[in-house]
Amino acid sequence: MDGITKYKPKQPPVPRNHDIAAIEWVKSNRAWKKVSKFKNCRALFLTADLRLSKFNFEHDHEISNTIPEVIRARTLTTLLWINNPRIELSLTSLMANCCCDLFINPRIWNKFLNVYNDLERHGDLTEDDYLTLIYQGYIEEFLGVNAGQKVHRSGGMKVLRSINTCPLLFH
Amino acid sequence: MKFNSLVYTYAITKVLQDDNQYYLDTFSPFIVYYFNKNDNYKSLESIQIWILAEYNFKLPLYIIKTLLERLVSQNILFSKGDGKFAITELGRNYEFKFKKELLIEDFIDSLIRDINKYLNQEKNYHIYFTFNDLENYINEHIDRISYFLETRNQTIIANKQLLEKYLWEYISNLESRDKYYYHFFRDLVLGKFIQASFDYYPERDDKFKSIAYFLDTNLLFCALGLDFIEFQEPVEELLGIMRDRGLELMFLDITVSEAKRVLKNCIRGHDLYEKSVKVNSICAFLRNEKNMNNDKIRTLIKNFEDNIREKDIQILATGIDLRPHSFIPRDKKINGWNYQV
Repeated sequence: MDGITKYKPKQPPVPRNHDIAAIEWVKSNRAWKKVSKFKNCRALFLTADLRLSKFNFEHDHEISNTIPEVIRARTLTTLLWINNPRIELSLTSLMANCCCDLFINPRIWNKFLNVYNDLERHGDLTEDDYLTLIYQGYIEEFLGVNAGQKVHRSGGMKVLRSINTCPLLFH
Repeated sequence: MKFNSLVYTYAITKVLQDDNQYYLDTFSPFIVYYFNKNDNYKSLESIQIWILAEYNFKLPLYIIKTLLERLVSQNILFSKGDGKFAITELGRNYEFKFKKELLIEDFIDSLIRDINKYLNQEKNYHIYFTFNDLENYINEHIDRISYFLETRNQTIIANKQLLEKYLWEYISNLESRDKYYYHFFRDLVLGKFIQASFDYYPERDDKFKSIAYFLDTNLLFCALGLDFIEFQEPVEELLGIMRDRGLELMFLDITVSEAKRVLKNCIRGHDLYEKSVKVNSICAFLRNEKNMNNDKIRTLIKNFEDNIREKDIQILATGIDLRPHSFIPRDKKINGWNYQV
């Protein structure tokens, strides 16, 4: 068994056609090209169906590390919210709560300063780099990709690559 | 404010991800607190309401769900089944890792006293320096401060103002002056980074505005209030966030047809759903929760498109025929069965 039937074996033909047609509709919006940047996304098919999003990701985008046509509602919520949380939290409350794990880990702190200063010096970070980073970070979580099976990190992530290869950072 | 919002948010996210953590994890303590303060977990919404009341910010329900799952995988919570969670012994002890707000405030007070002592007594510069002044100073000089904290390089002092010069001297000598104050100051700077990453940046939503969002059948039912509340609420919240950020929601006509087909099946299967058993299906919801008989479902189908437009969501005509004898995917490898052509 191959294709979508592997993911949704009991799905009748008409709803199966709907899922495929929806994916193809988004693909046609993207001129049948794979995109690696959000700014080139043009369209997304939003679903609560984990199996459909997993099929689309693993079938078409896992190896090329491109943005799927289908995205889970939960993933989009996270992307939108992390990208712009709009939270006003006092510094004391934040230090007492949000940062409790970070502050007891000087290694994280030092890495953070290192990455921050490195990025400031390079100065070529784009919003797409950031969006791609958070998307890549959460895609495994949301799609339930096998533990230890990392998503390939390439394509449109020049800053990320430069950081990954910086010998100072990850010794 | 000289913070480069994108760079510091990226840096926080990147470093956490490389450490197998997520930016979202910074919000886990609020969930752990909830379970330490509330013995009986009721729902995602109860956590959301509690955090809003205690801390005055709203975590989306989907985010809370994700955090609950992550805390289960970390053995801080455990799943009792049926969507219920409880705190573990590890979770109860986790609370001791948190710093108390009063302790933080005490640290801030003593740091500010020390700065005032330094300026007034050691430098003979008479001023009443406040925490607000310190926050402004950090905001203004975040690049230099972070560079100093990373490299301990003190040779880049080029202050014109006397106060700035003295403050810089104070910060650059703080580690030798008092290690506790130094570490606390360092934490304060990270706190400022994280606080600033929570701010509102309207331009950050622009990337999402250029995308057309087509919603699947399951979201269509939620948008119309035709699914169980536990599925409906997070979706309604997402749609609210999307509208709030100026994103355009649409349904493909094939999705609307598919939803109507599901409803038609509910008419045919009218005797399948016992009220005493909660079945996770749209038909069970319509029959048992909405008390819809076949006539009501027929009316619902008849008015379906109007109900969608009332929600201010467009329906896009595709011209696609989904019937098996008509539909031929362009990308044949997408499929795994033989087409009926």
